[in-house]
Amino acid sequence: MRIIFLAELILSVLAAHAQGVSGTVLGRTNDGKEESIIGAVVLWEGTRSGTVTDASGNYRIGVPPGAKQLIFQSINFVSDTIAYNGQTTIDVTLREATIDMGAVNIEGERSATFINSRDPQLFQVMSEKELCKAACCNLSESFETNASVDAAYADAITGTRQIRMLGLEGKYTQMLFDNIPAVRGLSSTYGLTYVPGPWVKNIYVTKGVGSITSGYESMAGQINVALKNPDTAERFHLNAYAGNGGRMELNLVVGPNSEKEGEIEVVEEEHVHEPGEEHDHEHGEEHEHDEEHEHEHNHIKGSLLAHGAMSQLRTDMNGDGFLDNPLFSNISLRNEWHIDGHNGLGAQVALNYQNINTVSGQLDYNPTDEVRSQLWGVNTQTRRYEASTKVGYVFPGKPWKSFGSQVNALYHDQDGEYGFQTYNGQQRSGRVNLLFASRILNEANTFTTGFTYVFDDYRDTLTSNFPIIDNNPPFAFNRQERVPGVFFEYTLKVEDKFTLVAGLREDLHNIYGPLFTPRLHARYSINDHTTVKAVGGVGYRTPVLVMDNVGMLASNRFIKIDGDPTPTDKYLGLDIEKSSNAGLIFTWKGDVLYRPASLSIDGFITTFERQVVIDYETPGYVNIYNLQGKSFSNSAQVELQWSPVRRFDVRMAYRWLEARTQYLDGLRDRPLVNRHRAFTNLAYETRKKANGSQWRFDATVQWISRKRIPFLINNHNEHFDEPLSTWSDDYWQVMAQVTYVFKTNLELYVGGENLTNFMVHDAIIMAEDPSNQLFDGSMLWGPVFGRMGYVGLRWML
Amino acid sequence: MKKAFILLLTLTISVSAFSQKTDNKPITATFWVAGVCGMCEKSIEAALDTKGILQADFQLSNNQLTVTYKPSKITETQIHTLLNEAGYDTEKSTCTDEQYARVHGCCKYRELEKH
Repeated sequence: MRIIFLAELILSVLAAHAQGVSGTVLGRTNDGKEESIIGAVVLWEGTRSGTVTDASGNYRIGVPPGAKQLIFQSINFVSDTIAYNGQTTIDVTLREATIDMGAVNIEGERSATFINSRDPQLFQVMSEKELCKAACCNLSESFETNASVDAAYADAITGTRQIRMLGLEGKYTQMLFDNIPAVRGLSSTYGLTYVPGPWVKNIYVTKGVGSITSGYESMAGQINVALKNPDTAERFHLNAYAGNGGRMELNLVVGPNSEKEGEIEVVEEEHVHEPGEEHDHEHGEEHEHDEEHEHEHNHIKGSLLAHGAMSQLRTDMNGDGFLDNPLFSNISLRNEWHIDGHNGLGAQVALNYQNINTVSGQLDYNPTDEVRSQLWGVNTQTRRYEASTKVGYVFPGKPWKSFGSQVNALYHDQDGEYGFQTYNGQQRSGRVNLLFASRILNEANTFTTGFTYVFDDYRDTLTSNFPIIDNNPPFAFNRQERVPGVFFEYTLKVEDKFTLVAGLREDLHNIYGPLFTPRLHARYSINDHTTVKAVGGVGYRTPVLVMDNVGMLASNRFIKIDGDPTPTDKYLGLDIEKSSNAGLIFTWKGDVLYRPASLSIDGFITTFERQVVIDYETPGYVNIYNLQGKSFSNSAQVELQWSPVRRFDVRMAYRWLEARTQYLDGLRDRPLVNRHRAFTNLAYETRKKANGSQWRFDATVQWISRKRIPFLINNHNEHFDEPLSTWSDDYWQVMAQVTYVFKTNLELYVGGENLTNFMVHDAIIMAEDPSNQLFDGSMLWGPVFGRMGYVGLRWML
Repeated sequence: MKKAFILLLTLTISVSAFSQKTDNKPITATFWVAGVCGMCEKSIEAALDTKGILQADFQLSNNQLTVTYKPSKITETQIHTLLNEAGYDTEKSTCTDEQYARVHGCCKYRELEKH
């Protein structure tokens, strides 16, 4: 009130020597009522002079020279801009925002990665800032500074990384792109490498089972990647990168045209209120302040993300005669549209295209050369087309009641030569997810319910052309899955103290019959600083044999599938995988020596009831069979974060795990899984100068414990521990980066990875004789490429 | 394992060592500062990013600034001056029109409501 009075005073002075404009600002709510808006902001566009409406919605404003347009804004209403041609009265009626305008939120001093203590399902949020810390060409590499997600090596030949959560392969973690399940089926291992780091806005990590509204698949965890979209994309962002491994990359983000500087900056967060996106309510707070905003009546916004990368330099740093990193050329495009319609309706459409070609293997292997194509090599071509739409509707005047739909379709086509084997695979997938959210009695009880239909058609074949013995029959892994399902998720929220999310879903799988999925998430705040969360539930997954375990193709191992004597409709006699997962997370947030700090401790247990075991224990073979006995993974993690002085962050984490499976010859540690991992990340920024220039420093030291290597014929390693298997060495990894920011819109960075220059030299068994059955590059436990330097730039407009 | 533990321990100690060399006890003060938006919050906290101030946290909801500082390095009056310099009024001192002109268009707290 005081401010309004003050404002009026100033304006009456202004009005005295300039002609004025006055009028009334009304608001029309979604249920048709009109009322005057108190405290609406009225501002001349391009200037800093403005006023607010009084208790009756009236305003009076002076006219500065050159004034052309008057902007009207109010929280919960859509802004309006009116041209000024000398009128003395301008009345406007603002439409109630059909979209949920969240509170004003600012990043402030928040760290690049932080533990979430408010959402019962979510564990951690990694922001764009975190992703900039690594050379981070793609998502699978961005987890180097995350203790919950391990970045492992797929094999010694194709040079790809894959993630692991709770000691379980990436395939057991459900990946979502903007809340839509992605990286499924044939892309389960490589899928993350298809997502360039600069496309990513935030990554939401859920440990243990996730929400049932996105399906029954998250077994070890759920990672939701928020890609830049028309609401969050910069107007123009160019990123170029070059590393000494010969890798070059160009990324481009183009968002809707924004306003010019000097105009009023509104920091409401626009967001389509969709039941399938309940996470976002909490996530709104991470969005940056300077997000661009549209004031015009233009309610269709588009964004384009483009990525091109190539590497044509043949390198062999570890001297085994094989390429360290594959030669590749990738193109990825994503085009997304947001339509904010009237009356609570909003829609989003996204189109994706990817084209990926890789060559790896012996140093001189060349698939197009008649002689050199005889060498052992891998040559793959992948093309993916994907379209997804989301439609959300919020009932007028009832922001808690909404309807949403997610529909997506995918075609994935992959051809590859892997030494003496040929692989061809096609996946056609479609998914429809309808969600309805509302409340029961009051706002403390809410629910989301809906229907899902998933269609997956896999046609993939693996043919062996092994020159000496041919006991690998050509395998055809054709399978069609049609899975309708229903779900109901109930949320109880008792103030800010306690939240409970209980979900049930029932799916009817055409091959594996009914699948029942119960899940529970609970969060309790003991006090302002301390929160405890509990997670428990069941998850399922159908195996996609070849691509799930594509590392096995980087060898001459014979594949022996030994399913149950079949009911013929079952996929090669192999089971659907089923696991139960439970966990407890303790979080403390507070001040240590007057500076913000957080501590999180968690423990998780995952037990497989049914699993398809991929057994590398016999040299020269991969045995695949249904689990007979136990398979489990237990893990514990401590993570400490502290900012001892301004602009300096320290993060330390340690995680322990025990992942064991019953193989043909006994219960053993899962191969190539390290029991311990610890890292420290230090980040420092200098104070921003008046012109926006700034230095940023970042360094990570990481220790990875030894890993079990299954019995290999020519093991030179002497530390025999268990019969017939050996242990790798433990190793240290150091990476560092320096960034210089020129005037906020241009950043240059220089960095190095694997600065300890640690390499695995005998990563490929029988590298000297690739035609031997024992030739094997599938057992990689560390990097094959030594010290790596890179430079890059980010340019934003 | 052991090696990693020692490393973590050393880092913890070294990090806490250099932030602990306080020979006088820091003071925490809370007072009213003008501000209407998130940009204000950012600017206010940035204005206090200076020697002697350990922590500054501005709550937009109630306009309360909580600041922890070392009295040997900076006084509370100087903190108010810093805020005025950045264009923000505090409960003890009001900034000049020239200083007020420095705040961003959306931060014109004398004209605008909280948004």
